[in-house]
This record gives sequence, C-alpha cells and structure tokens, in this order.
Amino acid sequence: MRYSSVYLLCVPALVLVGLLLAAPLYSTVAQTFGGEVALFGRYGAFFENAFNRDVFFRTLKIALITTVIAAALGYPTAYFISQAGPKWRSLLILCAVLPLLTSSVVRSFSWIVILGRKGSVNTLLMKLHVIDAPLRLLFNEISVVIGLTYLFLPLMILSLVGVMENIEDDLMDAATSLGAPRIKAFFAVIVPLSLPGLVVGAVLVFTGSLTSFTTPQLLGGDGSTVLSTLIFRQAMVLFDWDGAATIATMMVVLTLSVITAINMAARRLNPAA
Amino acid sequence: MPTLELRKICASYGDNRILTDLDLEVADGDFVSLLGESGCGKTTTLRVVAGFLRADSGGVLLDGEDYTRRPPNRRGFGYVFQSYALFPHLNVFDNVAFGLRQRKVAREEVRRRVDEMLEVVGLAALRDRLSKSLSGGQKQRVALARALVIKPDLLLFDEPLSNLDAKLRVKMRVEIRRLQQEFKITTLYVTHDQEECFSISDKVTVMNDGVIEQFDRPEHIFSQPASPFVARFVGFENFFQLRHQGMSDGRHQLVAADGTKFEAPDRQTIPGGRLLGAVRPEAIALGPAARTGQAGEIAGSIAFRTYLGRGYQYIVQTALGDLTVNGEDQQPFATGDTVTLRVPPDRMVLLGDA
Ligand SMILES: Nc1ncnc2c1ncn2[C@@H]1O[C@H](COP(=O)(O)OP(=O)(O)OP(=O)(O)O)[C@@H](O)[C@H]1O
Ligand SMILES: [Mg+2]
Repeated sequence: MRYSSVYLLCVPALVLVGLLLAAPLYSTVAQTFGGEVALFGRYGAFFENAFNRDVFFRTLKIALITTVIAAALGYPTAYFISQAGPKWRSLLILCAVLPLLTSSVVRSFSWIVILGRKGSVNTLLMKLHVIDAPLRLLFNEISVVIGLTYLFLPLMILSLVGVMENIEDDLMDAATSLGAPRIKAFFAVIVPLSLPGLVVGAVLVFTGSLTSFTTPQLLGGDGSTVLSTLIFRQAMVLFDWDGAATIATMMVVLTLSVITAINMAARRLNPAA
Repeated sequence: MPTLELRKICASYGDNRILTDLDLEVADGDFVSLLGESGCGKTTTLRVVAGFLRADSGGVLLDGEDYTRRPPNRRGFGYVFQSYALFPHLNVFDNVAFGLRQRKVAREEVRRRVDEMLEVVGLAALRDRLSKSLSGGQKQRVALARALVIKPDLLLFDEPLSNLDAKLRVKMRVEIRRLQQEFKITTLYVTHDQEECFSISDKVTVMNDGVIEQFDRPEHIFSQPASPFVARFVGFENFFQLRHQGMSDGRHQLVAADGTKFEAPDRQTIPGGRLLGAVRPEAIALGPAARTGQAGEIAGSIAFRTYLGRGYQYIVQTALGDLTVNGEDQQPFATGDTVTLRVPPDRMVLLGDA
C-alpha cells in the first residue's frame, strides 16, 4: 500500500463530518443572512429586544459562574485524587465519573426532588429551625447553576487529574527544600503546571453550560430563559426558523471567542504551556 | 560548617520498613557517600534527612540541634535530585533564583548572586533558556546551581550523575567535588557507582537493606571490608570457611574444611564466631600444577576461561569450591589444565561469617 493511500482511511469520517456538521452549520449561518433584511439585520433586531439582551447576558453569566465554581470545587478535588495512591486513585476517579453514566434528564430531575419546596434541603433547614418558610431554590438561576455544576464538574476534575498526575512529585519537594512552605510551593509549581488541564476543563464546562438545554429547561423558570431554551421556543413554538438560526450562530461565535480568550489568558500566564 | 547526625532512624513506607536503626555522622565540611544496591534505602535516607519523609523513630540532628520534626522549607538544605526536578515552566535564571526569592532577598542581590552562580557552573549564556530545553548535563548544572545559591547548611545529592554519559559523569563529579570544597559544604551523596563514590568521598557508607554495613575511608573499605556483603560489593569474589588455629611466625594460622592451610597477617583482628576468608580474583597467583606444601596453596583444574581484554579470567575447580582467578596474557591455561593457586598471606581478608 502506498503511504498516501493511508489518507483514504479518513474519507468515511470526513464525509460524515461534512454531512452532519459542516453542511448544517453552513446552512444555519447562511440562513441568518438570507431574505429581505440588511446584512446583520437579524442580529441587530435580536439585540434591540430587551428580553433577548437579558437572555444573552444571562446565558453568558450562568456559563461563566458555573465554570468558576466547577474550577474552584474541581481543583482541590483533582489535586487530592492525583496525590492518592494508585489503588485509591482509580476508585476516586470512578466515583467522580459515575454521574456521567446516568442521563442528564435523570440527573436534573433529581435536583427537583432535592431543591423543591418540600425537598430534602428545605425539610432539613426547617427541621433545624434555620428557616421558618421554605426557600425558593428551584426554577431560577441558582438551580440552573447548581444543576450545571453538578453535570460538568466531572469533566473539570478529569481534565485536571490527567494533567496533575503527570507533574513530577519531586518538584514539590524541590520547591519546599528551597524554602517554600507547602502552600506557596503549590501555587508556585502545581498551579502553573496544571494550567493546561484547567484550560481544557474550563473550555469543556463553559461550552457545555452555554449550550446545555435539558438542565435549564427542567431546572430554570420563566425568569431564567437561556439561549438554548430560547432557540427551542423560536423554532418549535413560534416557528421563527430565521430567528432560531440567528441565535444558534451567535452561540457558536460566543463559544469560539470565549475558548480563544481562555487560551490566550493561559498562554500569558504560562509561556511554557 | 555543621555536623549532621542521624540517630537510630527507622523509616517505612506504609507497613514496609525500609530503614532500621540507622546511625550516621557526617562531620563538618566532609563529603560522605551512601553506597548501596538499588532499593537498599539510599533515597529514603536522604528524604528523611531533607524532611520529605517523617521517620518513624530516631532523630536527625544538625550541630546538635534537633531537626527531626522541622519542615523541609525551614531546614535550609540543598537537594539535588536524580531527575534534576527543575521547574519546567521557569527559565534557568528563575530556577536558580527560586530559593533566594523564597528568602525575600532583595531583587538586585538575587540578580547578582544568581548570575554569579551561573558563571561558576558555566551556564551564564543559557540564563534565559527554558529549563526543559536543556541537555542532561546542563540540567544537572542548573540543579547544582539552584542548590548551591542558597548557601545551604548541608548539601544532599541523590545519584546526580546517573542520567549522564560516562565521560560527562567523570567531568561532573570532579566539578561537584571542586565546588563542595570551594564552598566547604557538608555533603551527603548517594550513588550506586563504586568508582564515582570512592573517587570523590572523604568517607563512604556502605548500605545493605536499610542498615549500614561499614562506614570508613574509601581506601579502607576497598582493602579492609568489614563484612562479606561489603567484600562482595567491592570486588572480593572468593570466600572460604576457615578455622583459626592460633598464631605462628607472627601470622594467623588458618585451616579450611578440607585441610588446606592459610596464613593471614596479624594486623587483622579475628572476628568471633565462624570465619570467612575473602580474596580478590587478581590477588591469587595462578601457576602450573606444582605443590611445595606451603600455606595458601590450592590444587585445581581450569573449568572455564573468559577473555577480559587485559588478561584472562578463569573459573578454577578446587576442593574449596569454584574460585575466580585472573591470569596474565602470556601463557593462557586451557580448560581442563591442572593448576596450583597461591593465596599470598597479606592478600586475604578475614571476616566474620554472619
Ligand atoms: N514512595 C514509596 N512508596 C512505597 N515504597 C517505596 C517508595 N519509595 C521507595 N519505596 C521502597 O523503598 C525501598 C527503598 O527505596 P529507595 O528509593 O530508598 O532505594 P534506593 O536505595 O534509593 O534505590 P535506587 O538506587 O534504585 O534509587 C524500595 O524497596 C522501594 O520499593
Ligand atoms: Mg534512589
């Protein structure tokens, strides 16, 4: 077999990607510029509407908050897992990914049970007399953030553990022997060296949260519409396919710009990565 | 400059006991090596000294001060790792400056001292290079500079040269010794390379399975090993069980199980219990079969011959078992030849047989 013919092996995958990804993407983007409107007319119209603007910034805000919380919770967890012995490590990783094995619908529903008026959280707080009346924990931005964090935390942990495992143990010892207390050594050595894992994790969590549909649909209320649920409404309730395509295109652009921004920030912090 | 003392150190990983009642003293300004086979606990000992590993019991003292529970960042020891452990995200300058910055040394002085140290180890030209883009020898120098620049009270090396090629190893070990003497730093050096160890150390500690077998000057370890283990380690290959039969002509008179007589110089003290005589392959004289009845004569026949480049090595079958003997180039013996071996009295070392 000639070497170049090896490339032929890629053809089936390329055809599949072309048919299922590139073509629909092209037609979606093309649709937003078609018809009797000015060049960016549909985008302008979208942002003229105050409700749409709120949805846009809320989506961005929820995705960012989820990413930050997932990073804050995932970082120590991942470090702990990476420092555990080999036996414990596999067990802990299994525990971390276990939620990924159930459907996101089921996982979102479980939060309805936990956060509802008569859910476990409210019942417990009432019993302890911390509160008199049940808190409104469900169908708002908080419940969406909680649901999304729960959904995507494993991805953050996994990408961090992968990187942290490969940081040489001797580096922490080297830093402490040179006079750095453990906590300072952690920030001087582990943090910069695990940045690539944080970037991958952040990108996964951010894009996942930005585009997720089930969780905001089930856990969000009328006041917490996000772009994905808005697309659903435009397309399936209002049958405004042009409008839905416009929002979809914006989400793609938004995702790509945030990924670029995160990457650039990471490169500035750590030129070696 | 301070003296390091280890007192009855016991250390383990989990339930696995690695060091047992280890005593060691490194005197002021001395260069002491820990020599031993892979897995005998050399790195573990260094890690206890550095404070990376907490000993189960026993004490680490520096100049009489108890360091046992002091965290590594407050010990002020320089540690050179086998893997170098350079910070891959920092350049050469920042790697070397790391320790000074932890000590809140002023910016200007950090610059001056780091540049000075890079000059000393010959890396001034590479100061802005990322550490992961360096060659093995260059990394080794950075690691050395990084440990030296903090003016450590004690310098610890864990097989620092094992990843370098043979030529560079010799060059670097001379350099390490030169710097150690120039800065007069008390040093504990781990290696499993005998030659390296003997060539640069003031004293050598031979370790076996978590205990110290002998602590002595390199020349003594080489000529007067204190245990069968050390003897084997430094190249004694022939051992016979002996019985002591008193003194005569100012020499120890000894006899082997088959009646062969041996003599040994009286400067050797006789260990109690069972005796073992140890002889190097090159110490035994090999000649054609001819008995004179003198002590130290063994009859045998050549069982096997290998060429060493400089002379031959023979495995000789004797009543005392198979002995390893080195012979000259001129008239090699052939397999099956009957020969007589002579062990000169002053070439036999007497050991207690554990
Ligand atoms: N982190 C660890 N956890 C468990 N056991 C360990 C650990 N590090 C070392 N050991 C065990 O402790 C024993 C001594 O190890 P140590 O690293 O001190 O050997 P060494 O003399 O330095 O050997 P080498 O010349 O191969 O470096 C070995 O049997 C090793 O398997
Ligand atoms: Mg070792």
